[in-house]
Amino acid sequence: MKKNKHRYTFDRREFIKIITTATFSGPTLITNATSVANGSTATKRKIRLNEQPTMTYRKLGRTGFMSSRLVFGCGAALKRGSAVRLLDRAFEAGINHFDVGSDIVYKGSERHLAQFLKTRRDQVWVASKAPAIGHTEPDDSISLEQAKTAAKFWTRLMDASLKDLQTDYVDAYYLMAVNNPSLVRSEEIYNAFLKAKAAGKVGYFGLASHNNAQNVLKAAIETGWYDIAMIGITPAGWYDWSTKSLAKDTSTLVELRGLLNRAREVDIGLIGMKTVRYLAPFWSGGKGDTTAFDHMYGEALKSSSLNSFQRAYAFVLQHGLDVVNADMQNFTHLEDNIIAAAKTQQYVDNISGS
Amino acid sequence: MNSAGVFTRRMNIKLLVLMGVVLMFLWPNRLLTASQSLPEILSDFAPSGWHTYDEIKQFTPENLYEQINGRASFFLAYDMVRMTFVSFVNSANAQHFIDLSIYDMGTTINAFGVFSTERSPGETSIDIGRSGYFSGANYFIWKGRYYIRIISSEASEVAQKIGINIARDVTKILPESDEQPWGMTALPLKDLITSSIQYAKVDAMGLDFMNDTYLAEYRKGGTNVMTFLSRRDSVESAKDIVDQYATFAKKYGRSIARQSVGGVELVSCDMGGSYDVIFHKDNLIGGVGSVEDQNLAIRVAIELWEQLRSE
Repeated sequence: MKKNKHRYTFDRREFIKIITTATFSGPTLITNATSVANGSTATKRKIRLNEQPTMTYRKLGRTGFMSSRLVFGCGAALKRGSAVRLLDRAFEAGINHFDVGSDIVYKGSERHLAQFLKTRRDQVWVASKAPAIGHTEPDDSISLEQAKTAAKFWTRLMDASLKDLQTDYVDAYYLMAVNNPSLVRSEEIYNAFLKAKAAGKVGYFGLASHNNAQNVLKAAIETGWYDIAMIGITPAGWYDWSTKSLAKDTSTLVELRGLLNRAREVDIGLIGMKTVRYLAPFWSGGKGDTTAFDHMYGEALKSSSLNSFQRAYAFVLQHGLDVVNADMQNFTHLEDNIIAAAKTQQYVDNISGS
Repeated sequence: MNSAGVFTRRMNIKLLVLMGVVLMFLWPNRLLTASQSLPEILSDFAPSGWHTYDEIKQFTPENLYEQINGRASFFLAYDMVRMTFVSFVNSANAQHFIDLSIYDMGTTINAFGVFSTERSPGETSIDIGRSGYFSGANYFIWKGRYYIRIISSEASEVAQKIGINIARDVTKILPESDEQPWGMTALPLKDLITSSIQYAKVDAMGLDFMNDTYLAEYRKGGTNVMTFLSRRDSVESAKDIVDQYATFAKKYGRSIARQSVGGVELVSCDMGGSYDVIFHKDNLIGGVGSVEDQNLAIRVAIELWEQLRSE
């Protein structure tokens, strides 16, 4: 696809100016300048793509993008055979946000999505992601050398993503599976993003975390660098991918509203992920107990006709998450999730401030 | 036999056993008998100038997520038994690593499933294992019940050479099997694009009723046509799948037509801009998907029907 003068981003010259100034003034200025720049973008305009009456939409933080509340998680889905029709059906139902991942993790998924994007690229938001570093623990302190290598590695994967997606621009690119706040605060990584943005490769900066996500999100809020955070979250609180369970001593989602609100106050768009994984069968990484979150729900949701998976999606969408990313691999799951996203308001009681 | 003779015979047996053990460890092409033993065999696999990072790890379905995160469910859907992982780090540059993952998928067909499903069109084949290909300095190989992934942090020529050497060494120790995935022998060879064959254990084409299904492309004239082939335990069950497909096509397409062409009973589905055709032949279910030309779709479906051998 030809570069489209970056439809959803703010002026490129503005960014080049920021980067040039930052070269002489250091990362603090980058943070401030970007925050101001992002802030100035936040209320300017909304980006509307493929909106349909069968779906609901929510502004994704400072990006201004009105994202379908159901995000199509392509990573796993597109590895199996020809799933292009799932994408077509999702588009038809008003899903306008497609999330995928680097070939190094989701082999071939970006290339499969590329076929769909050939005719839809200008009508949908595309986000991809890649890990920046391996072999780190959540509490490790990243050295400068490690950060430089991580930035180089991440940039190389971003370039590969663009090639695989057969595009020269993605709307957002995330640090994938980040569990280390030190990495989140890495100026090297952030500068790598800024360079990519200045080169017209990417619009917005994000992170995806499902291990130590609470501390990762706090770090992201502090830096002011991140436009989008995709977090592993369930009605009962943080989901920890490393244990395939709820994070130890997690607060419930309702109790986490303060933190989520802080993220939203600095205009970070919040995407929930792994929301129903805990309910899923073992082979899919769950515990197989579909009633695990029932005690979280009010009467309206409990007595609704929604199934356990739909209820969980509906609940998180009403409790601080802007949108939810679901990995859907067949039509049945897709249809179920469309209903959950579209009808969330109808079934959730005692909600305020969402 | 006197006691000295018994003693000598026992010693000979002991010596033979000892020699066998020594040979097992010295023989360069020693074959693996069980994937549990892989860590021991891989312990001396680090290329010259490289070393093994941390210990060689093995993962079962219970803890595969710890290693490969979101991709685990993909492998578990194909009934992975065990994954062995080792990371080699360049001794002169600790940031340069090569990760070797060996998936024991339990059966040849499951190994082919993950190998074929991860493969994208256009990737360059290599003559290693039963089938293999590479992308940059990354190598992907299927041999017997094993699927091997070699991922390098660099895409340099040096990394490519090291990667291919590791690929060759690993495939030497992994046993081949004489089992052939059934679809690979059932699919007609004429016009088949061999590298396009995929095996979906579940959810083929995003349909939750299409399990145990092969997908393959055929070059027909100037067009690539996607075909599918599945099988069920009984003719009744195969008929039921065709009916479910028709229901799906009615819901998401424009219309369906049941027709008999040359004695072949077909369900032709207008999906809006493209056509699917599905049939069953005894307990086999076959068809074509997403073909723009309806006549071509029907013709290829009939050709497939004619060339399929009933089981």
